[in-house]
Amino acid sequence: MIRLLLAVFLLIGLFVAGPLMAQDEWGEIVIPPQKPIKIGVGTMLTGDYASMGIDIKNGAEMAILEKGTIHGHPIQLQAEDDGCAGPPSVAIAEKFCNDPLIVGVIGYMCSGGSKPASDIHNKYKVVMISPSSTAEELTKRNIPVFFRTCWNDIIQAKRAADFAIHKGFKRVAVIHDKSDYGQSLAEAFLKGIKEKGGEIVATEGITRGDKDFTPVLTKIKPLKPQLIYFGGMAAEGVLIVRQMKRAGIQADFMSDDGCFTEKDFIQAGGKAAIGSYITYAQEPSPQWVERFEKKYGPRQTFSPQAYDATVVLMSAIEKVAKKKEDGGLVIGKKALRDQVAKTEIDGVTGPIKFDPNGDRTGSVVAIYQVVEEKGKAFFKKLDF
Amino acid sequence: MESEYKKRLFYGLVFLGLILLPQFVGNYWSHILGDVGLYVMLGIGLNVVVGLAGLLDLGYVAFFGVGAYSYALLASPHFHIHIPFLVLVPLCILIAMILGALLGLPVLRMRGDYLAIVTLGFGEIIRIFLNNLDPVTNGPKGLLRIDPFRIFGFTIDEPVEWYYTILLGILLSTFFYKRIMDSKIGRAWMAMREDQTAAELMGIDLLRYKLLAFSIGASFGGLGGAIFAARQGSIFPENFSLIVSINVLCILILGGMGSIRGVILGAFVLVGLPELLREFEQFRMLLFGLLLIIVTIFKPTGFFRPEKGLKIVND
Repeated sequence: MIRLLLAVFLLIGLFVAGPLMAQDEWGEIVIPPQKPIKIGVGTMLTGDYASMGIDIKNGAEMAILEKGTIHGHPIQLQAEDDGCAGPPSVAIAEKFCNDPLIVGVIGYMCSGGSKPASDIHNKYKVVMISPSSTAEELTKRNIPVFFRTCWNDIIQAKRAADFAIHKGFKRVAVIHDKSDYGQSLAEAFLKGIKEKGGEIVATEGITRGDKDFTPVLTKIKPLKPQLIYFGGMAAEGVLIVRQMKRAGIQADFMSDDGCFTEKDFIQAGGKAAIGSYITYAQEPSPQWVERFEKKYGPRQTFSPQAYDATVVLMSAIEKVAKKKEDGGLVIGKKALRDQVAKTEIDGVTGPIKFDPNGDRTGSVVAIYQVVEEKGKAFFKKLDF
Repeated sequence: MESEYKKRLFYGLVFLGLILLPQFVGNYWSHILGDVGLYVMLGIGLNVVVGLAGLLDLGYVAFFGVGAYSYALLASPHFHIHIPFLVLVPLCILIAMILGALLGLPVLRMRGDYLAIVTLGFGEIIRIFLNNLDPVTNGPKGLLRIDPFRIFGFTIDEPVEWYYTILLGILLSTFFYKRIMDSKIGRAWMAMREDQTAAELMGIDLLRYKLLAFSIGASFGGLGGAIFAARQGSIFPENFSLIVSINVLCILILGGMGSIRGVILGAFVLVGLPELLREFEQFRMLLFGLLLIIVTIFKPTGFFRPEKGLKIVND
C-alpha cells in the first residue's frame, strides 16, 4: 500500500518535471524584450559574517552599476541571504535556478553552502562564480558550472608554507578553528612545511567563538616554535595574536585571508598585531579602492573578487547573447559556461583565467605583513 | 455523526490540496515546503517527548544529526558503502532510537530545568563528536555526494519529488503519533507528565516509559535526518547546531504543545515565513523576530489548544 502510494506520488512528480528541449545542449535562457537580465548574488546578509557578505554584494553591485546595460537590456542584481550554510544556500539555489530571468549567480559565500548548492546548479546548468568559497573539493568534483575568482585552500596554504620556509622558519606550530575552512588550510600548510623539510611541533584545534586560548598557547610555548600558523577567521585570530604576546611566546604569527581585515585584525589587535604575516589576494588597484570606498565606505575582504566575478559573468553574457527580432535575447547555457571558461581578462585582482576545473590559475595569493609607519598600522605587501 | 463526516471531508480536501500544491508553486516553493515538512516531522517527534511525556529536551537535534550521519556514512562514496534506502532508513531510525534510549538512562532521575541542561549538553556533545571524529565523519569538511533515494530504478532528486516523499513521511508520523497517543503508552506518558509521583504510585513503570518516550521521540528525528541527508546531498556538522533544537521547540511553543495542527502551523510560521520575507534583505530577520514577539504577546499559549483530554500544567 505504502509503495503504491509512493509510486503514485512519484508519477505525479514526473509529469511536473518534463525535460525542456532547446537548441543549446543545456537549454537556453530567453530574456523577453524590455525585461532586465538578472544576476543572482548568494551571500550572507544577516548573521555572524554579514559584514563580509554585504561587502561581496556591494562589489557585485558596483560592477553592475558601472556596466549598466547588456545589448540594451538593463542588468538587475538580486541579492539573497545564503546564511553561510547548507540549507539556506540550497533553498536560494532552487530559487535562482528556477527564475527564468536569472542568467548566472555570484556565490555562494561559504564553502559549506557552495558544496550542496553547486549540485543544484549543475542539475539546472546555471553558471555560478564564487568570490569566496575556497574549499578544495569544490573544484575536485567535476562540476562544469562552478568557477571561482578566489584561490583554493591548497594554493593559499602552499604559498604560505613556501614563504615560511623562505623566511627560515623551521619549527612551526599550527592552530586551526576546526572549521571546514581553517582545518583545510592548516592541513595543507603543514603538508607544505613538511615537504620543504620544516618541522611541525604542534597541531591544535580550537573552537570557533571561544575567547580564551591560553591553555593551547601554554601547551605550545615550551615547544619553542619560530612561527605559529593559524587557519581561521579574524575573531579568533586576533585573540590568539594578543594572548600569544601575553603568554610570552616569541614566535611570529601567520594567518590566512580570514584575518585580512583592517577593523577586526589590525585595529582590534593593536600593538600585538604588528609584524603578523597574512596571506591574501593581490591588493586591488588604488583607483578601484577609491571608487569603491567613496560609495560604500571601508571595504572588507572579498568585494574585489565579487567585482571581478561579476565582470567575468557579464562580459561572457555579452559575448554569447543573441538578439532576437523582437528585441529579446537568447543565451545558450552551455555557450555561456564555455565562454566563462575561456575568460581571459585583467581584473582588479590581477589577470583572470580558469583551469579546466574552474579554479583560477596563476599566482593570485600575495603575502602581507602588518607594519606601522608614521603612527598608522596597515597591511604592507611583501615581495615574494 | 454529521460533524465527524464534515471533519473527514475537511481533512480530505486539505490532503488533496497538499497533493496538488506543488503543481502551482514550482520548484523553489516545493523545496521550501519540503523544509517546512522536515520541521513538521521533527516537531511531531519532539512533541512525543515534550508534549506527551513532559520531558523538556533541548538536545533533539542530536537524533536528527545521528539519523543524517548514519544515512550519509552508509550511502555515500566516503566508505564506498551504498545500502539501498528501503533498508537503510529503518536502520537510521533504529540507530536514533537506541541513542534515544542511551540518553534516557543517565537522565532518569532528572526533571524540568535540570533535564533541559543535560539534554542541551548531549546535543552539543553529538555535534562536537561529528566535528572532531575526522577519520569517521570527515570532520568539518562534511560528507559529500550522498545517494538520493532510489526506488525501482527511479531516483528522487527533484524538489517536487522530495515534497511528496516528505508528505508521506509526515502522514506516517502523524498516524503513528495519533495511535500511540491513544494507546496505553500514550496515556501513561500523559499521567507521567501531569504528576510523576502519582503516576508511579498508580503502577506506571517510570523507567520503562521514560526510555520509551526518548527512543520513540528520537525515531522521528532519525527519519527526518535520513531524508535531510539524502535530499541535501551533502551534510556538515554545522547543520546540526543548537539552533535546530531551539527552532523545533519554538515550533511546539508557537503552535501549542501537544497538538499536530499546531506543529504544522508553527513550522509554516517559523520556517516558511523567513522565506516569504526574503525581499526585505537585511531586515528580514529583524522583521521575523518582531513578528514572533507579537505572536507571543497575543497568543501566549500558542495558536492551538492541546487536543482532546490534554492539558498543560505549569509546575
